Order: sequence, then C-alpha cells, then structure tokens
Amino acid sequence: MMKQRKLKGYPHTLPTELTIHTAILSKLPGKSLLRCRCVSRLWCSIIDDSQFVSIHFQNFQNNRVRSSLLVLEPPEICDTKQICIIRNSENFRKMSTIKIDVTLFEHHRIVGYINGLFCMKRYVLGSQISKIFLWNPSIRKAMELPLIQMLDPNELRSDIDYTFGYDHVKNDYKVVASFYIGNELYNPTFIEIFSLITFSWKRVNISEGPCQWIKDGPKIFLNGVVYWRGIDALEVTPKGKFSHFVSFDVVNDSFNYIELPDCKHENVCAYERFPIILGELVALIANFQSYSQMWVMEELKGEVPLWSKRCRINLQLLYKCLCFKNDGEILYTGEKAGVNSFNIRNQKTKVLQRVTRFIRFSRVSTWRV
Amino acid sequence: MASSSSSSLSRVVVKSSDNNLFVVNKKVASQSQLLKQCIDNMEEKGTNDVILIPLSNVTSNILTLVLEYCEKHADFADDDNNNQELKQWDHEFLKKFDYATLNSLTMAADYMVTKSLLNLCCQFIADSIKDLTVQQIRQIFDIKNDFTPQEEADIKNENAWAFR
Repeated sequence: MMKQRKLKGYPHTLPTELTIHTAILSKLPGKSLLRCRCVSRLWCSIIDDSQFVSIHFQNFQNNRVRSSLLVLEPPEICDTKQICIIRNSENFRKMSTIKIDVTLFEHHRIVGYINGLFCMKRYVLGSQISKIFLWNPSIRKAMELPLIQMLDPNELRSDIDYTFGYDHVKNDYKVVASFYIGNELYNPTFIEIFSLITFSWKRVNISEGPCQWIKDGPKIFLNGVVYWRGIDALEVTPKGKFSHFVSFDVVNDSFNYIELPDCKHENVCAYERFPIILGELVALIANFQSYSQMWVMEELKGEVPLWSKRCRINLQLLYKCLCFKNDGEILYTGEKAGVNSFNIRNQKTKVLQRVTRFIRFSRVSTWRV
Repeated sequence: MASSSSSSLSRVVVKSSDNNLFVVNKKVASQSQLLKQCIDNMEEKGTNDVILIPLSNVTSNILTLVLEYCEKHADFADDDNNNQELKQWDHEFLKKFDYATLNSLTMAADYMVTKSLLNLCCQFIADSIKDLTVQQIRQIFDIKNDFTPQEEADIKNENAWAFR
C-alpha cells in the first residue's frame, strides 16, 4: 500500500519543503554536504548559508557520541597516509576514518583539537615564528591565521608556546601565544591572544603569579578553560617543584593559578605532575619512583581548589595510557598492540580490541572528541 | 500524568484530507503540538463536546502512520528519547517505508508540529542518502539540475576528493 507511487516532483519549492530539505541536510556529514552542493542552485545556497553552518554545528554538538576519541595512528611502513580515526572509547571500535598525507604531519605539529577542528603550527625556516592554521579534516579546509606583529627585533627570537581553546559563550576559537624571550625560560614576557571572531591578535601583559609557567608541557582543555603546569623554579618547597596549574579562561581571557595538593609518599615529593581530564573534572597525576597517585579537583571555590586523592596507578600502565575515561577506566595499549581498559575501581582489566598491526605506543595520540 | 477532570476532553476526532475520521485519545494527540494547541484552546473555552480537527494537508495513509508513532511515544516520558527499546522501535518503524512515504510523513510531522518525529525522519533520510551520488539524490528528491555543465564541474573541482 505504501509503495504505490514514486515521489512526485516538486513543481515549485514550497516553504515546507525548503525547511525539510534544510533539516535533512543539516544532519549530513561534511563530506556528503560537499557533494550535495552539486545537486542544485537552491541546495548549494542552503549549504553555503552561514545560518545553516551554525545549525549544522549545533547538530554535531548535540549528536556527537560523548565517549568518542580521536586517535592519530602512525602510517604503515611505505604508506603516505597518516590515519585519524574516531573511535568509540567504550569498545574502541572504529566510527569514522580520515586519511591525511603524512607530509602534513612532518611539517606541522598539533597544538590542539576541539570540536573537530585542529589547530596546527608550521615552522617557518630561519625564524622562531610559526604559522598557525586551523584545519577542519572533515571538509579538508585549512585557514591560516595572520602573523603576529612583532614590535621589537628581539621578539623574533623568542620561544613561543601555543595553546588552543574554545569560547562556548561567544562561539569563538582562540589561540594563545606565550612569548619567552632571552633567558626567561619560564616567565613569558607577554601574551598574544587570537580570536577567530575578530580575526586578529591582541597583546596582553601578564603580571607575575605565584609560580612560573612550563612551556611545551601537557595541556588540557575542559569547559572553556585550558590548564597547564606551573613550576616553582626558585624554591624547592615541600610541595615539590610543581606547585600550581596555570589556567587560561578562554571566555574571559583571564589567567589564574590553582594550587596543587601535597602529594607525598614516605616524605618524598612526586617528581612529576601533570593535568588530565577525568570525566568533567580536572585531575592530577603525580608520579613517584614506584607508582602514581591520581588526585581530582572536586571543586574550585574562588581560587581555592578542593583536591581529593582517588587512587594509585601502576607506572607501567601510565606509560602505555591512551586516555582516562569518565567512569574511572584507563585505556592503554596492551600486549600484542591491542587496546585494553583497566578499571580503577574494581581493578579489572578488559581486552577491548586486538589490533592486527603493530602500533608504536609513543606515536599514538588521542583527543577527546 | 495529568488526571483528566470532568471538564477536560478525553478524546478528539481528527479528519484527514480525504475525509476519514480518526478518534484519538488526548494523551496520544498531545504528541502533536498542533492538536494539543487545538485541545488547549477548546478546554479554555470550557467546551465539553468532542471536537473535530480537520487536517487538510494529511491523507489517511499518512495520518495512520503519524498516529501509530504518537501512540507508541505517548507511553514514554518526554525525556525518554534515549530509551533503547523506543529507539529500536523508531528504526523498525521507518525502515518499512520508501522515500515517497518518508517524505510525506516528514511533511505531516512538520505540519502537525510533532518535533521528535520530524527530527527522526530527517535523521533517517540523511543517514540513508549520505553515501549516494549526486544523481541518485536528485532522483530521490526529484530535483532538476539547474547548473550548467561548467558550473557543476567547477563545484565538483572545489572539493574533488568528496566525489571519489
């Protein structure tokens, strides 16, 4: 009964049809949309419309699988394609694959990955200044950011550390460039903040904080704030050298310092600490000679953090760690290059996926999608 | 669930474009914002009579399907859209139809303001056309290609990789 007729044509496009076509298109992946621009003039204009772009993005935000992971795997020998795979972190199954020319990664380094967008830097020969790109692999479009204006020739020789963040209030992407000039290894002389909305850099001076910054270290981005490590280079305090996390609030363009807890084991301080994301919370891994502690920042009252110690982690596990999951599971590369998960709560190990080809641990990088 | 007081309606009659009548229980009808609005308006006026709502844009075939969907979903709470059983049912429900029926169903969902059905249909159609060629998509939606061959080639070349 239902299959009595082929869809009869649209003699002219009714408003309802336009609404429905727009709604269907807004649920298509980027690659299909690029093809659909070819269907007709009307479809092409729908897809190119800026309002459509934001609806499409909203759908992507609502529908993305919260537990998915972007895994950057090294190319196979003789293969010229690097492989970006979106995997489900529950079972590590492949959800989608993007192949990228290896050369891209030879000359570029990833600064960050947010909302399907890579921020990458490319070194410019004979200069410390890098070119910064935003790159959307699903439509294969890259955008180069304007170069930072240097006021002084000294600045050209500075070391620059980049950070990528997303302002969910204004729907803006920001890049922070911290300039370390001369012997100032730990204190940036000034900061430049790029906003995609204004498409320009803005210079900001920063006042001295309770600790100095560590450039090029691990950074995490969570709910509009970027966190990285601070170091107390002058004094070796009982807290050890890593005394704070430095945070940058992407929404307000403000910097903050978060004091870390005393992580000690038999009166010995942790020799290394770094930030990780545990579900929707900022956490800290503190490494000792024989094992690691995981601390979670339960809340932040003004500038005062409330830290709680969660568990111990085997160091071997940490070296092979791919990511920390919301539910207290750690994904790591197991024997024979498979992927296992370890549940901190019940201390159980699960084999998620046996990978047929050998993946070198050090070259696999993961991001939360 | 709101308990039905003596003054409120428990059922409405909906008339399709081909003049068939459907008696629909209020809870089921409320899945459609259009029907719910009609019911609310009548209740405000204090009418006790069974009301007749004519839907000039929806045929009996399609109305039957919309009501089947509303009946199923009336059993679940509004925030229960992630319920696995319901999701499975939705998928099985839409799987049976050809594009023509899906299209009419989508239009009816839009007209009757049944947002979850509209969303579901659009997602289902999107999923089923995402790997099709441009020509196949034109056929399904019966869209005439109004590009010149040169224009079409230019658009293709802009993102040639997407057509491989």
